[in-house]
Amino acid sequence: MLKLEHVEYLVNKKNILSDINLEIKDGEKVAFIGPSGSGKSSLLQLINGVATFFNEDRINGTLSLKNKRLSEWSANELTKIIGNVFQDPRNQFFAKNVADELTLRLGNFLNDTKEIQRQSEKITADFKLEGLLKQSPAKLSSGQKQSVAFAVATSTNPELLVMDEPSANLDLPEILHIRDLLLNLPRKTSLIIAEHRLFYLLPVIDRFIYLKDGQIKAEFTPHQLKSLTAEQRSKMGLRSLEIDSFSEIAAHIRQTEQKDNKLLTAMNVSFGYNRRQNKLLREIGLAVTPGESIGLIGKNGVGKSTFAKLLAGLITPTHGKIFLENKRASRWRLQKEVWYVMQETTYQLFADSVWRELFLNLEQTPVLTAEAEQLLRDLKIGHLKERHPATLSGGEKQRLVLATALLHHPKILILDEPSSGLDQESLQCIIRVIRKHREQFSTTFLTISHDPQFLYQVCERVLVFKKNAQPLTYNVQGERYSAFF
Amino acid sequence: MTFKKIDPFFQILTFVLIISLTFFVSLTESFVLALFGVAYLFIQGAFKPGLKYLCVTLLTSLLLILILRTTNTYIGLLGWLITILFKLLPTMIFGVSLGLIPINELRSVMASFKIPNQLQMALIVGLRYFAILSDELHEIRQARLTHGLSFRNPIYFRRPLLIMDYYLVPTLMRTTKLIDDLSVAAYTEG
Repeated sequence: MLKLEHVEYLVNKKNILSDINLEIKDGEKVAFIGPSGSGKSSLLQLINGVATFFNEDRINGTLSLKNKRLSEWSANELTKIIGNVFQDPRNQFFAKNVADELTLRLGNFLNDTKEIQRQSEKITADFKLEGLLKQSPAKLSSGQKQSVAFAVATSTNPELLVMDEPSANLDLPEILHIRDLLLNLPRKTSLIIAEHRLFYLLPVIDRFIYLKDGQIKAEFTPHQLKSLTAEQRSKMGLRSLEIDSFSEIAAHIRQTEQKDNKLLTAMNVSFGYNRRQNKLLREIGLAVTPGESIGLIGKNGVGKSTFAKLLAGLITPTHGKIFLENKRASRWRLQKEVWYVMQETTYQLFADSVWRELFLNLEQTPVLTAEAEQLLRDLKIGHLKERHPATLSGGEKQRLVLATALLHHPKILILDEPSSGLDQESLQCIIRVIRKHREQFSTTFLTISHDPQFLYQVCERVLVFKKNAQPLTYNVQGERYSAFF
Repeated sequence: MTFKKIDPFFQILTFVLIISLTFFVSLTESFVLALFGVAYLFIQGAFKPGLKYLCVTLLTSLLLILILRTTNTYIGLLGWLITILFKLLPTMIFGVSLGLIPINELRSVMASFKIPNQLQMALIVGLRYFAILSDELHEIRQARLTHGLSFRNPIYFRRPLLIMDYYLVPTLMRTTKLIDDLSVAAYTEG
């Protein structure tokens, strides 16, 4: 199906990939694994033809698909063979609603309207998209967008499916759903997937290819990968292979003393984006004490991020009240005291260097300067002080936005999917810094995440959101993550 | 309430006509075309954008009337910019109206015009760009608020250059990235 011989890829005069030799057979399922910045996404871009199309002169070596050089395939021909799911599927959609998006793709290949309709209905049922058909892709939650992108990519039965971290923003049931869909892929369909979350890929993948510093360093069968010790995996920057293997790690989480003084209280908070539609959140209540660390979990689209934005004063509740230190809080006050780290961190980068980003809206006192230096060191981005934030990798941007937030010492810090797309090392960095700030400054953390490995290590209780219902609270200790669903 | 669906074929023809007229009509005629576009949106049940563009049309008209009465050079320069915006307004409104058509219908009409596949995709990407851009601007506004930077914050008045950092930089960064992303997505769609 695909052959790469001595392939090199240069970006900004730097070798992003070097000496890549790889052969993928028809129907083979392959995963690219490795730490952030190892070249997984770049290799996918080479394979799906995007890099060849836009930067052919920066590629050395031979890439061939079905015994024909990749550069000789036209974009239209490649579309018929390769289906793509991007890491950030937001800009992958062109139509006004999900139903149109499906038929747009199908219309590229099929002429018969009835056949398009039949195929569209089948895909809708397979991917459980019935409730989303009329919705605009832009208004879907991240996980829903990813599911739709996957459905669109597979709708035309491509011979090769290329996926870049499809699970990054998905909740556990959706990841397992994706796993089932991958297991049900036709035998002749080849799959190439780049991932950090490995637990759901074990039954799907035939071969794991480990990349580091732009080179293929090792190959593993699922059995060989499983036989690596946790230490070996961690050293390689690989995440855990099991969903529920973190209970022991969580044992030393500091439990906040139950205090009477509430830092933040939400009373009967309701919100709906559209007056014509049902409310997304109905009479939600929450009380948070200083220094607490709470995880917000639940299926994609139930309103976790919306609730977080309400608490951060970014949007106004249609009903209900929010109190900060027992006083009714205006949006303005919430914006000052509650810091929200967005899921898509690129929006929150404003300055032209990492150091300037930290002090953009803050006076640079000696104490804060020392603290900023320490924070950057703790988050392992100290060497990037002079770099432009736009040139950082996803994980580095994530850590920079977190550093900026922590330097402002907000009373409450809300993190929206802080671990998506992070490798083991970056994840551990963030976990250590969160723990340190809870100890030193009693900062309160609210964390939205689908990542059990992360939640088990930073949260003492979780709030499980369900559609049109009050969220339920569970203590993390002693519970299995999967039990929350 | 049921809304009238305007034939996509007719809509494309109107859009092409409006683009061609942009450079030849007077300001009064641009005003009439813009109102015609707003009516077009209302007929199709797009009240929110209709109302928004009605306000923009009326406001820019009012500004133009005021500016035309002044002799101040700087205000005159501003008037020049507003005139350009005003001239482009009908095209923008009819573009929004075109964006209401389901992509498949739009594509089949373009195919009936014998427009090549690549050009069809380019037009679809163009329409998509403006829709995403408005979402992006909304996200950037929220990102500013996460830094506590609404106009209620006195820092804006103490350090006006911050406005540049918090408005222009992310807008430019995101629009550039958006173009890249859409090009890649369009390429993978053939």
